[in-house]
Amino acid sequence: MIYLDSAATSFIKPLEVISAVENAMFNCASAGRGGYHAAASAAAVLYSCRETAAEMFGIDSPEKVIFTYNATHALNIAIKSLARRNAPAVISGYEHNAVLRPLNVLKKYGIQTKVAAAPLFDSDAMVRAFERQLASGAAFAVCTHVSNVFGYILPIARIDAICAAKRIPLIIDASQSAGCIPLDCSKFKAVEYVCMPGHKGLLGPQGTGMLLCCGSRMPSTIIEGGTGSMSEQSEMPQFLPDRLEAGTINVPGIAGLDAGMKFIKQRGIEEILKNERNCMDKFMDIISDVPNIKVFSNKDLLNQSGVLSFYVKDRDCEDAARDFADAGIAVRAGLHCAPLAHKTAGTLGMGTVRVSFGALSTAGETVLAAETIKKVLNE
Amino acid sequence: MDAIIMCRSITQAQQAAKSLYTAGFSAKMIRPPRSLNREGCAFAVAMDDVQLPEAVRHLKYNAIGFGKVYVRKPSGIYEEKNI
Repeated sequence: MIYLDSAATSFIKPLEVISAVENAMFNCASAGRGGYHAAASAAAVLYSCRETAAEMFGIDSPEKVIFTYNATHALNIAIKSLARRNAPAVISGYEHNAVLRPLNVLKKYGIQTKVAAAPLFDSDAMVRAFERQLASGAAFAVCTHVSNVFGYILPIARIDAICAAKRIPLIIDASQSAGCIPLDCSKFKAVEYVCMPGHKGLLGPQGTGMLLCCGSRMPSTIIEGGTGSMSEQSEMPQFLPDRLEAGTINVPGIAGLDAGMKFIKQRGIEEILKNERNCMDKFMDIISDVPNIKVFSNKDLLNQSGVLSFYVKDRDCEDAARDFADAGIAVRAGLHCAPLAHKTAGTLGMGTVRVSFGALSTAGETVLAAETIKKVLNE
Repeated sequence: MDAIIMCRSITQAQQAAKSLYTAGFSAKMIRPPRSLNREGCAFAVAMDDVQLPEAVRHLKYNAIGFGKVYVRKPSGIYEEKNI
């Protein structure tokens, strides 16, 4: 199988990640619950990962790195912390259901969602759309860094500047960018939270994610329980990370996540992005002349990461993906849990086939996959 | 190790212990005596009391949070110190 679904998860992991998970399972007990060696080893794993993440993303203290189950969990905390009754939320037209569904639940509290919609890859139009929707104020804004469907890199620095001028906190969904595109939170002025999975670009195991708390607001809890601190208090601690980390943490998962981030650091995020774009370039070169194909790509790749979507006229995207799978190529088809992105780009009716590259993708397997896909489509 | 610097969480204790250790202090993260845990489970940094004033200055200078500071008297009782 040639794996071209890195936007869903980094199925192929560095060996360092697998070893770190195994080591943690052999050596670590519950972190923060005991003073003996195995508990201290577990705590050391968590702290090391917080430090690695803080350094990678420009967070000024390891205490502001919160471990979550995934990006969806982190986004739920972020959104529900900033929501205010009868004040709207402004989101980009490329958000995932991890943003749309929590906001849908909040509708009953009078929290309306305003969408800043703009054509694909048109960053100036996206900035203008945010300016328009934020003009009359908002409780907060949410913007994905990279569209999970189209790989479109949204102009988050410019959107951050608009939010800062209006004193509106911003949530960044870094699900498709963390580990793939440089992201320095110390440069932001309005970003309050950055949410990311651990198992995609960061190469960690599934069941891991992070919420980076960039601002000074104290987030709300969405689950409560034991933290190993302030145990006589019936309420959750008013400090991070304990406030948001109820229950036993996934120590083997975090060990793997730390190893994944260290692998990325060693290789260099810029190099990884270059590799993903190189693979995408080669892929597009081969499939672009397939009859009736529509590839969603920004030709200069300046605001596109290693994700691209396409469809072929009169060919169901799910049928096509199944044919590719039968030929040994793993891609994803459909709406990719992002109906709003498809609506914005005009592909809601047909969906797309998505091809996504990762840190461990190679040019050789990309060429082979593209030629196989082309052959299947031409049959 | 006769001095204890209380911390509100294990993460804060790890940060303090690592910073102190890296700066040359003989600091070690511990679970403090229950008598000092007035709000339940906690973590702390243990170190030699002679290094305590300098260690506290180091933590303040580096903006690393910590809680109350105790020194054990010859009787074994911990006494809070204002540094």
